[in-house]
Amino acid sequence: MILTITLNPAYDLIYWVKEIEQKGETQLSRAFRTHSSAGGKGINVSIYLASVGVENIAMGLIGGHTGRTIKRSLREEGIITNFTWISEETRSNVAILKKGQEDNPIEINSTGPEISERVLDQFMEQYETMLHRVSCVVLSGSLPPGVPKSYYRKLVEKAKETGIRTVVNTGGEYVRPAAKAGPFLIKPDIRERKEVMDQALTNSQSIIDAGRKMLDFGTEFVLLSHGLTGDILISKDKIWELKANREELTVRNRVGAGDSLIGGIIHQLEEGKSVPEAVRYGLAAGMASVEVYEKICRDTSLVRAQLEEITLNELGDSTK
Amino acid sequence: MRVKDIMTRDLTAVRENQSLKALIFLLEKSELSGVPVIDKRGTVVGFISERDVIQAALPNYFEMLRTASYLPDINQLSRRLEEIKEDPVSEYMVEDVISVDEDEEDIHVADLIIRNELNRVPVVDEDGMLTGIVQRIDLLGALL
Repeated sequence: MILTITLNPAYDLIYWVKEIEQKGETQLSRAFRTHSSAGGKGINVSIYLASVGVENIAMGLIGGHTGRTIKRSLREEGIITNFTWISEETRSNVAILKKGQEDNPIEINSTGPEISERVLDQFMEQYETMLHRVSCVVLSGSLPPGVPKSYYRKLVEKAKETGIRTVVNTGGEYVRPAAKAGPFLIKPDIRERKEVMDQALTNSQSIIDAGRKMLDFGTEFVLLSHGLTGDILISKDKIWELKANREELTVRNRVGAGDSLIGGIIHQLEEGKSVPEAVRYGLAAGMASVEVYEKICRDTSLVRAQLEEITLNELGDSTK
Repeated sequence: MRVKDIMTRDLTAVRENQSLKALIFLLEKSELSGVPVIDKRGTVVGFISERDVIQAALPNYFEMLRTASYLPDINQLSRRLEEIKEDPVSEYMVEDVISVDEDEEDIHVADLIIRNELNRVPVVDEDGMLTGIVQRIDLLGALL
């Protein structure tokens, strides 16, 4: 059983428009397609896992009408829910995709409601109870205001105490504290800043250097994506490079691609695959999700087609 | 049809050591009328509903509803709730909880719900750990 954590969930609204331009006056843009669904990175992973038949529990903080909508939609996906309730309304996020420029969406994310210490105590109590019944915890996304930046570290440490594998997918200031707890795998989200552990990511070597810094804390695998060089997976003693044929890709919606990647990895690890092979499959799942309007690609034939286009090469010894 | 086909896989519950205040917050925000009470491992040890809270605050309230009596003073309920709000849920929960497992037939659950006038029945695994809930509405939906 997998447990996903989304401390800052959202209801995602995605609009596809033909034109959007600020001309200095009020402008109405009609969407020719819309998609809305429960979101937040951990929740997206849960939806992916449920779509491939991996039983999972979604935990996080929800509130108000939006919170109830998220919970109901996850139940309809067959996901087990165990949320902590807050007084404030859960946020909504908006993505606008302009026709012909779907590769570069406009994403507007709210910061999320302020979280009290009382709520965090309640969440931690529920989290500790859930650790008795899962084999892997996925911690994904940003933290809402009021939650200490080191909170992922605490959650990873609690899981490790009970021998449970952890996967972290977060960005910016949350990466370093999470890495310090030594999760099984960490994938820093570098959409906002091309920088990890104070290391600017400009080429393959800088990615490897940033990865090594995280391995020094006890993290077992680091996965870093880079548009120019492909994805790089780093362990204590090896480095792998994954290259995909992105030229043939028809981009319809990039939202959720990174979460499909994590979902694909977890799915394959549950099937007993090695970490590099699981990452290769995860990359295919992420790329397939880009080709569909929904956040998650539910057609495994599309994932398998992408898998054919991805090469996995061992670059060498990560200790050198 | 079996319980696993109609149950809601939601693990919303309250820990036995939590206060009535925390329970009321949970019931209000989640719009549930009652929840299972669990221990720290997630084993079901009881069930508590808003009815049990009212009973705790005003023991004669439900009897009064059946007679011509009326609530003499709403502040009485408020004062009493204030007095007991920090009490643990375990003091007021129903300990002899009726639960079912995922493989039971829906007709058995329907019988339990009707006989015992229940809205929600916890679903547990072989170790007594909470795996979900069957609500009266789940059964009605399945019968349509």
